Amino acid sequence: METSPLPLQLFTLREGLVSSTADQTLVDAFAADFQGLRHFGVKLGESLELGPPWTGTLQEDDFTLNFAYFDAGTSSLDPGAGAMIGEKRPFFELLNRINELDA
Amino acid sequence: MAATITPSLRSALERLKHAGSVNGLLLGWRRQILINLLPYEDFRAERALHMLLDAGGHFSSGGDREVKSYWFGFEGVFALALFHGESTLLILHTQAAEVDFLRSAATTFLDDTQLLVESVLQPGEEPVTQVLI
Repeated sequence: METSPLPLQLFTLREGLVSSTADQTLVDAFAADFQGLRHFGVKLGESLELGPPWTGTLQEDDFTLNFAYFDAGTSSLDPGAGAMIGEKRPFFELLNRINELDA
Repeated sequence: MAATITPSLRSALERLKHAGSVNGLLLGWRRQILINLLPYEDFRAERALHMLLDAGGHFSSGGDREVKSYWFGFEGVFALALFHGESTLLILHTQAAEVDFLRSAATTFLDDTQLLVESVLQPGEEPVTQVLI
């Protein structure tokens, strides 16, 4: 029996905490990927002298995850948001979706 | 052989550079640079390439994941990275709204140039004529 793909899950980042209405397993999974993605984004920014990233996305064949910090800054304590979904989604669309959480 | 094909690969990459708001491109194979059209010296480009490969290694370390692309936004510039086989393509661009168009164009580029990449890496040997003496 085929399992349905993971629906869009939204997360908020604030003061070093990841929060969501999703269950704990998904929050843990997002937090782990977010930390890894942000880490390598910072390293890439260092290698090209671009500074830390304010947004990042990773995509597999059937999975997309992103994060973005809002205007306050890009430290791990600054506010932001993230999303993950069990399908390929256009990067720009997903970025706009989490930016809406900055209202 | 490689000498005649490399310009083809370079010109294909330069055509991609004219797509959208692209201001730099890097094509790598495994951990080495094939063509660096980034506004950075090779040592920085190589460091960036290694970082992207390390990120891929991190996420695939569990064995069941394969990240195909990354997109990061920095102050004033975006970095889009795609993987195809053992090739890596990094694109720097300035307009966020162009990312999905660029990803599509870059995927086509990587699909279409695999033979060129392989030819650069394994240039065909000239035929050898031998006589028994």
